[in-house]
Amino acid sequence: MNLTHALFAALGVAMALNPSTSMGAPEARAPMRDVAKHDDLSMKLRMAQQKDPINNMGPAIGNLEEDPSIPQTKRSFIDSSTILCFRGLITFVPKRAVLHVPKHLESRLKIQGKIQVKNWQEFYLANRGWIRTIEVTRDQALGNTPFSEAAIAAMSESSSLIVATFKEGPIAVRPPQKKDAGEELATNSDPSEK
Amino acid sequence: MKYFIRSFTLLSSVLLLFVQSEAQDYTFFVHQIQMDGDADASNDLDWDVSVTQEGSDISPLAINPFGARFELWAIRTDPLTDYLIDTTYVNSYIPVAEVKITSEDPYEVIPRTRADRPFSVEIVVSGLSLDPSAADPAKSVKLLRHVQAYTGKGTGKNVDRGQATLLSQGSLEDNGAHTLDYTVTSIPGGDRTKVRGEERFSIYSLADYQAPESQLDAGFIQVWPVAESSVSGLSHGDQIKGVAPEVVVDLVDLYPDSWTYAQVYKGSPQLGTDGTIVPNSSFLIDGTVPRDETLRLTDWDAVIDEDGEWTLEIITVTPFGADRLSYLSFDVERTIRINGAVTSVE
Repeated sequence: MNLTHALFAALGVAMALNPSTSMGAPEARAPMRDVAKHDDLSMKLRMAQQKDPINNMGPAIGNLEEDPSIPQTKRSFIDSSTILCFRGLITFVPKRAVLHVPKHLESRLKIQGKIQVKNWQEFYLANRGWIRTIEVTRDQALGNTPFSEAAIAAMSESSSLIVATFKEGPIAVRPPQKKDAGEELATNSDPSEK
Repeated sequence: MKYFIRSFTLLSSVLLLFVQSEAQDYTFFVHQIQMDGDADASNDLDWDVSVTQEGSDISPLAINPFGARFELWAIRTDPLTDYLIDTTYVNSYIPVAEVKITSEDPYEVIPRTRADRPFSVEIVVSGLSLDPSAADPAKSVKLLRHVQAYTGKGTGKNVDRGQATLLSQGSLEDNGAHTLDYTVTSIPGGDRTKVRGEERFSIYSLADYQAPESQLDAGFIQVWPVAESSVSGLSHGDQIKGVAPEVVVDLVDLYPDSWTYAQVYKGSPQLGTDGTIVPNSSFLIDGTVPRDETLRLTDWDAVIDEDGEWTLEIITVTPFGADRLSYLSFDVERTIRINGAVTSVE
């Protein structure tokens, strides 16, 4: 709000507080005009469309048949996340960030009752009792370096839900990439997708 | 591989994208998505950056050869809904672009203007290769202009932006600032004064063998309709002989930052005349979306204190200046004149 407008606002507030006040219009007002009419704006629009500055740029190149913004508008954060929910708090972690879900905690991957969304840090702080995080390397997240068998065994026996994190932020862990044709390492599919 | 410094100050402004009083209903997430070059986005590496609400940071997750996309999401609790607020694609040799939209309204949270007012788009591009032999994605970016009307009294919430109309597109091959000036919006709508919606300007990289066309930056401006007023209880040419009647002023689509009032002055209508504001006729709005209101003018005899012709005007003051929404003139005739003669008879 600019200064003039702020002045008007202040005056308006003053008048609202004191309805009996009667005063002249502020002198600092910009020149008054009659409100715009449809016909005038239609003419302006026609001229504006003829002079769209984008038309003066180089012609668009690349794929002109498809609007590249469409796939983006169809993305869904909720659908591409795994839900963690407990005692009215809910958060979202990337799919495949949850590495292990013990049977007794499976119900916490669904929305239950009235909820309040929290970011990961706040949610984790309130739920350390049943969530364990495992810091992974970039290569582990990309599936280039598999977890050791001992680590996989330890995770599978854990009574806590295990979330993979990178620099304390939940991260999706891709299934290990094939070393050679026909050889596949242990998978890290998201248990929440089962 | 390179690291990317991402300023998250946008979070603080985006928080205000929603009505401030509702900001506590939203939780914000920033994700870095490492693209792997195949068409299946579900295979891309997805990381919750877990940033603080304001500040800047260096992403410790190195950008891989296929690039990375940063996404800012706002999640509403009730009803549970996600909003993609901003997205940026980063790659080794992909140019960087920034889109900034300005109007006469200095409001900083979301650029906004009115259906009859101009706006400007500034695009700053850097990193374009000047080597004529370079691949197209290194020396050119694509500019898209989308328009989308809000239906009914829509305010932009829950709008399916996939339904926006791609109005025009072009390419930019020069580094530096490019300014596009628009005298008026092109958002579709029959009555041009009642257009409400948004215009979006996006810069996309061109597709190459590593990644599809990806958004480098985008900005949008919201366009709100022109206000209108209708007066009932008093008509043009009416004569007031006693107490001033109750006048009802219906105000429609008042601009989110506006002060609207009724004024009277003696004489016939004259645009630009400073009159006397009718008591209780002042209405101030400092919000994020247009509003409809009703003013009731009662006990306003004190401001029409002489006989003769008077004018009543409805004025709205916005960042664009003062607009006269409607006016009418009427006569005040309160003096009782008695024509008589005194005679005597003897």
